[in-house]
Amino acid sequence: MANKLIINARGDLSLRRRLLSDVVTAIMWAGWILLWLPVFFKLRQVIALHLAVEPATMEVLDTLTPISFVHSLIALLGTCTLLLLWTLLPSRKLTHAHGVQSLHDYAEYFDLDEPDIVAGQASRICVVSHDEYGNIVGIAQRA
Amino acid sequence: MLTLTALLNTTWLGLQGFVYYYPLFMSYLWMMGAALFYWRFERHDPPFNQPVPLPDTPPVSILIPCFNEGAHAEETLLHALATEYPDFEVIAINDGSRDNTGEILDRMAREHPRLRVVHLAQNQGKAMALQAGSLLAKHEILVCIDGDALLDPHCAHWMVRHFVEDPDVAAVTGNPRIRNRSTLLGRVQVGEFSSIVGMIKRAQRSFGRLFTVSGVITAFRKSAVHHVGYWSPDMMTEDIDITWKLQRDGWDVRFEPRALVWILMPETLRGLWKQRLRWATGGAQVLAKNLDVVLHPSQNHLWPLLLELCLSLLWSYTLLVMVVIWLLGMIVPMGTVPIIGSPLIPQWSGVLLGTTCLLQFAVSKWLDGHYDTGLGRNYYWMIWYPLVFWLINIAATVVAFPKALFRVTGKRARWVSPDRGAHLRKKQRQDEG
Repeated sequence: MANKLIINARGDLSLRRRLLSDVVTAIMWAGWILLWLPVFFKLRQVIALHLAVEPATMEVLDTLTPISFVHSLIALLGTCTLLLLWTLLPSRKLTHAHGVQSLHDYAEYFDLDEPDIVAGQASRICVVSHDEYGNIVGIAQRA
Repeated sequence: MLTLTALLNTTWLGLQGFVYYYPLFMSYLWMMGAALFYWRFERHDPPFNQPVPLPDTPPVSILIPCFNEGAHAEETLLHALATEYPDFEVIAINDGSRDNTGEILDRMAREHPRLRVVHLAQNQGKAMALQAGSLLAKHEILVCIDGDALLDPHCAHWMVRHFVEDPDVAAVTGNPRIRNRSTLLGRVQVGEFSSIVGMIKRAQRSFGRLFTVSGVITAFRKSAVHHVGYWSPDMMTEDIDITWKLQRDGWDVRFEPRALVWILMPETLRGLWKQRLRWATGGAQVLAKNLDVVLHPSQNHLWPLLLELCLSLLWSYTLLVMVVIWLLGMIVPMGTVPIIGSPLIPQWSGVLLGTTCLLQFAVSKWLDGHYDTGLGRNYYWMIWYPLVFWLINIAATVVAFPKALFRVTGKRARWVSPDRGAHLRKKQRQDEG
């Protein structure tokens, strides 16, 4: 079903517009890969100079965050744990009983007559009128 | 003096660190929360089109508020009427439309016994339309969708499951999937709805409460909505507001990723900006309205959400300050303002942030790929998100906050007819031609 619902009218767009978005997106990907060049150069140096990979990796990882990589990981896991523990704290529970409201409750809340609500619920087509303050003032059956 | 300079220096460095690392931290937190949600709630369930049998199937009312939906009403209603559920009614609420929506609804009501039509004598806004529909609905569970949204046949079944399981559940929000994928904007939003909207909802549910239900697809317990005084007509985003009202009252609000609805999204920059500004203004309104939860220890379940909302707002404004300082640094004499690198042009930390964003898309593709099989094809366009698209959202947040603060209290929020994709503009041109 999903495939039938998806609208892909790209063919209806002008060739110029399609080409523009395709090419600009490709340029953005190329630019994005270029931003990684310093990292690739560093990696090449590590390999060329036969440096130990592990300390070099840790050095790179530690530059990723304002605190060390390990500390960042602890902060992330700590926040997750704290949030999960927070859900266990006692908080507001429903103070009123569950259960369906009666027709009387609705009529009282909306200040309407019960038969009007019943008639509206039974109708196939009806018209609801409001006053200037947004209160429902009438329900008229049409069918 | 030296201490003050050191303090200012530390604060400045702290703010720079906050700007660069807050989104990075949140992104990994969301990914972990979403993975946890999948592990706890999603992995054992059957495919979305083969729902588990329920011990009880209470009848549901599907409410569809419509305002000038002549182009979509019939398709929307036919999908709603094709719901695979034992007992349901569909109520279309025509909120004083100026086009032919009313005639279409009346004709369809004569043809389909399950369909009922409620006309509002005058245009009142979505919140009031939902309220009228709720009053006239025969059943306790209300599935509310937008007038241009197409309901999956099994959607109601997946949502009702939560109401049957737990009487504390007041609302269950579904998983909106984007239909229009013609333009760059449409395709970026397909990814965004999975990696940002879907992932955040999963993470928030894992770690506690939801910030908002999706107005386009949410099922409500009628008595719960009645208890909290229905949808607020003066809020720009009635969905965020009702979520907070219900959760403040102690009700539970859930996310059901298998409850699918297919929606249309803007495919022009103007339409996108209007939509994002409305969302951000609604979020700011709700923040201002609910700041007092910090004064009530019994509302502690909402504190993490409030903190996240405040930090996000602070982050947007801090980024704005950084951009202003960076721009000033290029025009004023050296030494007048601190020298900083561009917060907008990616450097090393920006590259890391972008990589994280693309990783987030990959994770969300895995999560939502169970429900939307074409997601992977949009990955090519996702490069726009970390580099450009999120700036629109930040700008909307910055503009929206003062807009919400200075908005007249009690002013009725009205319908905004959004841009709904390139395919419709072509159709309109053909109709006009």
